[in-house]
Amino acid sequence: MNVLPVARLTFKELLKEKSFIGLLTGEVFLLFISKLISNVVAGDTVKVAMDFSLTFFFFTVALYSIFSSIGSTFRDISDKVIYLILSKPIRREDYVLGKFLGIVLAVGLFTFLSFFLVTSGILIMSSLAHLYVPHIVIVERIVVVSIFIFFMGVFLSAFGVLLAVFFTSQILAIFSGIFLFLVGLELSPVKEIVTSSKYVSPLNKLIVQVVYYLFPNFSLFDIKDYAVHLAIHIPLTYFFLVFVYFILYVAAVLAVSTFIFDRREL
Amino acid sequence: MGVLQVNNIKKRFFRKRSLLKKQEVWALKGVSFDVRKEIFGFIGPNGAGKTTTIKIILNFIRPDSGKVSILGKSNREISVKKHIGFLPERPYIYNSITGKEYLDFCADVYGIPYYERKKVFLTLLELVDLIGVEEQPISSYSKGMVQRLLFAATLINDPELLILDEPMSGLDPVGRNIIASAMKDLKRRGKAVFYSSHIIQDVERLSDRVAIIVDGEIKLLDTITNIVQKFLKGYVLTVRKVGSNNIEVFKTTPGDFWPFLEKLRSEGYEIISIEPERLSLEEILVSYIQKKRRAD
Amino acid sequence: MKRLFAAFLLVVLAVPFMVEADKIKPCFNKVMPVLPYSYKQVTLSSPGFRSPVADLLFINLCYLTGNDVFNNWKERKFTKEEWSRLIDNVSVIERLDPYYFDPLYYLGAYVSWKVYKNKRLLLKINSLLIKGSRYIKDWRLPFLVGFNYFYFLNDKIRGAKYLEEASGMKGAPSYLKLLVPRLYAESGKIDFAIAVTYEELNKTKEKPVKEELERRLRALLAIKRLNEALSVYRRRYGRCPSNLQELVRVGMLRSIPKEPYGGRFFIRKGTCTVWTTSDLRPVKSTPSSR
Repeated sequence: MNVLPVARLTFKELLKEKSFIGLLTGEVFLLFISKLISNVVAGDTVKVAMDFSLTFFFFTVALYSIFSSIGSTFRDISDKVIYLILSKPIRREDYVLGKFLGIVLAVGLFTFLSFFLVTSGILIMSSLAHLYVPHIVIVERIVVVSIFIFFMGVFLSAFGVLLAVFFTSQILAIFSGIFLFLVGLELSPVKEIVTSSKYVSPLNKLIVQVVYYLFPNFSLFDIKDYAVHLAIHIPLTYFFLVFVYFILYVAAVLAVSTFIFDRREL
Repeated sequence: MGVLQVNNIKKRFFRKRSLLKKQEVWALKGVSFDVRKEIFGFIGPNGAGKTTTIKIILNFIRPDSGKVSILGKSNREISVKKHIGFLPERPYIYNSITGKEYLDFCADVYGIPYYERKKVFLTLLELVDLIGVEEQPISSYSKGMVQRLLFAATLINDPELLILDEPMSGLDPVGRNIIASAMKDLKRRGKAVFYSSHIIQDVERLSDRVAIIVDGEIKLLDTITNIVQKFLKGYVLTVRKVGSNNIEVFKTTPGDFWPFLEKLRSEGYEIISIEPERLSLEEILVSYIQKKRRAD
Repeated sequence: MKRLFAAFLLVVLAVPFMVEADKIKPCFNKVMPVLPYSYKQVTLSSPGFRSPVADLLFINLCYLTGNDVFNNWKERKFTKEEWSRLIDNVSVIERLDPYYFDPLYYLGAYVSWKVYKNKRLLLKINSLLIKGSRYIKDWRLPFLVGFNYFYFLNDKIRGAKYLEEASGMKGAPSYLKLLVPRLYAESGKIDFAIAVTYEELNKTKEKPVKEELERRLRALLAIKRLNEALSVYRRRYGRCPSNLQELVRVGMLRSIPKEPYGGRFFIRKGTCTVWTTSDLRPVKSTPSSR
């Protein structure tokens, strides 16, 4: 088993990529934008600032996961780094798993740093706001939200590796990655709207149902409101169910990736 | 027993003609050879199937038929790769990491313990003359330095079989010399080196045996000495009359050589030099390519 | 260097074209329209952005209704249609982010005052506020509903019901607890008022409020007793007495009870019920003139 060396190499490489520090800088910039938007709203500015900064947090982690996983795997294949790696006693499965693990580490560090940035940003913004009814910020809740965002990043990284070994064009892979993510976010509302509508034919309803069950449901990881509104309570079962779903699905995606990569001509 | 045995491997590709039509192209039409504990040169024009053969040997792509065995085992077994080293053509590694980080990766893969690494790295870096730059990121290296570094890294596991795809291209004379002497050193220590090249002079100078591949077929496989013999055209004799300053040059065929020598002696000539006149490897290769052209 | 200068010159040359074009550019919608947003379109077009989009829609609403630069520093007059659309937009916001309090507060505390003549819109606002109070446990929401019923729709009983709900919630000011029984009492539901006061009395822990409630209870009980006497009188004599002293005179009451607020009980002629000049509020030196 030679998973760890590949993971370590991938992690080192990703950390030194410009996209890592670039997206973190972007994150800071987006925090300023959140602050500006929250300034124009009437009433609870902290709520609006949190909404925006957490949403930006959510999306930067998602984008980072997609870009880094697809980019890094693609670079390996197109720049022939893969030949250097696979000529060593490293199985193709080991390579895919190591790659995934390295990306997960990078995404984890990215999420942690963004969490740090976003939380300090939110705390500063809430201390600057003068409200009649103060909006209470509970950092533990932001931690929970960040853990979910990290899970989503891991989920997307697994898909990124799959797409990178499946497609032979990087642009195509990245676009399908983003498409997949957006569709995964839309699943629940689309299903809700379609199944409750009288004007949708039964066949289309069935199609939507099937897609709903098979497609990765990324909206499960979107629990930003939990940090914003203290009235929301999420039962422990939810965390458990999402965690199991996440583990099973990621394992499945990795199995498919190794299957494809094993048969791929390099 | 050969270190590397390649048995009748065939590989076809499909070239897209249009949306539905595909054209079948045979990249390798049954290639067989074996590499012993020697330096084995693999030469041929561009697109002859050199790189495809190497990719099949390393199990990057799979042949349509045929078998490859390395050290007596199938090349699909992962344990085989512990004993081989490979350097691809125009190698590349992430620009962002440092040379030492790459060496560390290789050491991790082969399980070299941390306390030995410093010594191992130092030997390797000394070999390719890169001492002092290993802590710098690879983006600051020149192309030749990267190639030398990666070459050094292939030696980290002391491979029984070293496979190099165009190791000399993109290197300056010093770099070529470094790699050539490393190859010779490996051979001396009983290891096998298999490499492809189209810098024929190097091949002629270095190799024990060569295989010429043209259009997916091995046209010639022999030792350099045999090839030289086989393609001997005659001798060039430089002579002068005793006591005169006039230098004369004669050419003879191998059959005429001894009678001609007798004749010269009887006529009172003094021999300055005798050189065999033979086809160079390059000419042999070109002749094969031209034969193929004519056949097409 | 020459090239840079040329580039600068070209940009300068381009300026008048831009200025002229900008002058004659056709102008669309000088007045910001009140767009009807649809929940479906908004959710489908902004995956993962539900709450921020809700925020943006609310910002849009605030700027539409505010008297700021967008409305030439004047208060904009909206038609009934536009108000209705504004209220619908709040319902979209609340579907996107059901825990968002501010739009509901805006609706109850601002829009209600603008559309108070239109019963249909007020009821729409109330139903939104009631829906919102299912998610947001804030006393202001039932309070606003109660206020609308009581003040604009003149439905004191429903008003009292929602105010009662509000008074029981965390953070509600203590005066609400006193307001509710008064509303009940004023609308003639003395029994209701007594029951609510009693309940509040049991729940309340703050001492001043407790004392106040006790006083209220005494007054209400007195009114109840007087009312009972009144109805007996009416049954016997078939008419309403001209004043409370008459009840004492015919022997139905031993004496008129003391009014704990310092006011004086009297008979409301229209309904023939007892009420007090204090309106259940402490009377200072001069008696209430109401």
